[in-house]
Amino acid sequence: MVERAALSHDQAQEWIHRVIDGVLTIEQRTQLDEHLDECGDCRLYAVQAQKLDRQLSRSVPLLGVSMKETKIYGGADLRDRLRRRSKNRMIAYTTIGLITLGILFGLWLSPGGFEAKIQSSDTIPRTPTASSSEFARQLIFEERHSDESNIYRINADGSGLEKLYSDNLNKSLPRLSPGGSKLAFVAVSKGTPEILFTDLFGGRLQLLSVDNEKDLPWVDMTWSPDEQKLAVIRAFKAISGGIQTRRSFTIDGTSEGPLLILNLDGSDVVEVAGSHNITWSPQWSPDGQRLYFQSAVYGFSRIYSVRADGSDIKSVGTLSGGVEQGAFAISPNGNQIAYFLLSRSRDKSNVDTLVLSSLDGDNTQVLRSFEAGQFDIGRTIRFGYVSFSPDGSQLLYVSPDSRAQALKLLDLTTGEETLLFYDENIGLPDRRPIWSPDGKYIAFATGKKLFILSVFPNLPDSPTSFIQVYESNGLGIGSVQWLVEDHTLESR
Amino acid sequence: MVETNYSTDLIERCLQGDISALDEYARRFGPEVEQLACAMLDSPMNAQNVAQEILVSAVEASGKFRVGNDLRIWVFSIAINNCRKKNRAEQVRQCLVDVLSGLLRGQSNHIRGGDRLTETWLDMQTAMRQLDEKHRIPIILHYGHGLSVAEICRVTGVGENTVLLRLFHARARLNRILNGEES
Repeated sequence: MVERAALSHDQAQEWIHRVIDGVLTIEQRTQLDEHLDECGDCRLYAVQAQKLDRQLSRSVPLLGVSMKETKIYGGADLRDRLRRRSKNRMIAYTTIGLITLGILFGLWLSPGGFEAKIQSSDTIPRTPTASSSEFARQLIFEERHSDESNIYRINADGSGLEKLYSDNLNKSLPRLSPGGSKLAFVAVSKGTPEILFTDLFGGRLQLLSVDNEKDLPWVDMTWSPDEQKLAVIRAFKAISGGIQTRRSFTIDGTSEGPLLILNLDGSDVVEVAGSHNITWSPQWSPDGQRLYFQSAVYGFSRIYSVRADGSDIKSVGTLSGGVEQGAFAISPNGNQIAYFLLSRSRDKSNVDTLVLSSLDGDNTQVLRSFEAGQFDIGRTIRFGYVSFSPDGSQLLYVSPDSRAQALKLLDLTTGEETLLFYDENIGLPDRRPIWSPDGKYIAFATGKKLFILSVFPNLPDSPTSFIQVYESNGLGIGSVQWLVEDHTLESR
Repeated sequence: MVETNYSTDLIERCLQGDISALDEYARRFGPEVEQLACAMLDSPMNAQNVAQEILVSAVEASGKFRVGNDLRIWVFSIAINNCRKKNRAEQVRQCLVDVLSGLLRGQSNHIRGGDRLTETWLDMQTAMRQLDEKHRIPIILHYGHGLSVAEICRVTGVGENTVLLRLFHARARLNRILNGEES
């Protein structure tokens, strides 16, 4: 026989109420009875509980007795109430609808209307319908002031200047995706630089979260061709007596640092070149399989490439005839690379060259030779540039010649060279000039001015040669990007 | 099952505005809902009006009535929710009245009582008012309307043990109040 635990007084008193409520099991009732046989207090409690139960049974129903005259309930009353409620509800819905319509109408009438409301949100409206003029196109650029930087949109004819995003964050490094549908930029929030990106046609801003070295600024980034990844370069702290490089690329006490490849959701972060390498100028191959970049791993500038997963790092091109590789560009078909080979010598018997080769370094072809010493070496390695036209038929590059550094265009089919831009009052572009997607124009900024060059000045709807699109009243203009909806290249 | 089908049919006909169905529904549940409202409400004088509103609300919400449910229990659960809302609104109103009375340095006169009020009624009324809502509702449903513990569970949506414990604590407190051991 199983021995039962003795029932406590509290438990017994609770069970007494369960007896009243009719929910005590037979076994529990037996146990309770045994307890009551021995416990006078609980017996007295049981008597009082039963008395209260009777009292409640008599009194509580009286609580529900109305003090008014007895009402005879009928269906007519209910039907009237149902109709009245239905009518009231309809009036309420109609009123709410009219008020909502009134508010929307008021917004529409207010200055700026819906457009102003959309502008104040975190989305960028679609590019306005292009007019017959090619110059209905638009540019996005970064303007720097002493205490802030912002991103603006402007029509290529200089009209319609508009600040993107009305918040107070410092924004820089605007980067459009290859398809032109996404925009990434760096914004500084509470001292922390963050990468934000958005779908240009109606998407909201999204944060690309990168955990390492959160307080260090981003200095460059580029979209992968499939727009699913970003290659980004984060500055690292300049360490006095620490990292030794022959050139100082210091920006606000920092230097260009590790190159990271990561997905837009912040996953699969690959640190490509190691945290102690200086890297710059990241460019994706057109198929998105490899990322090309410059680095000064051994103190000399070289071009490297790496798979998107961070594996298989290898140097690109050749060093024959030069000791350093300068600015480079990958051809649009992904088969060739153009780059400068620099001797870094003042000996006029040496030459610097602009070469074209296959990506594995074969079939190297010298496109142009320059007398050594004419180049500003540091500038050419870091800020120099060469770039293919969108159809790959022409090469834009900086040429050091007797007329000082000029912007030239080399036809790769005919070998014909054209002086595209030289103005000793304006100077050379501070940043890499950007081809318009149709290859007809080149946008670049120098100092505080933003210019557009016409590659074919004889076209009827083109500017005569170049136009100044904008002049900053701040410190200067940073990155420039073309914002074009239709990226289809026209046949020429 | 016959009763269940009948209930479903009745409430559907009510929703369509069938006057005979509404008549039957009102006669069947009106007095009981009024009794429940009268016991539940802080202002029982409004019980008849509230009862009508509860009946209308139940018809309007009939789309949520499921076949197999007890119509009486379902109407009770709607009544309990409505009375709770009314009490909350009444508490807010009373609070405003008190504030305004204080501002005007006057006194609000609560009309209480009537020829039919007995001493027992008053004692019980007073004691019941001191219970909080969650303890008062099972007592009203059990003693005022004869609902079993299982039915109270369905009306209030709480478990059996919870209902039993609430009944136990409510009775214990009422006992203390009625015996003068608690003011």
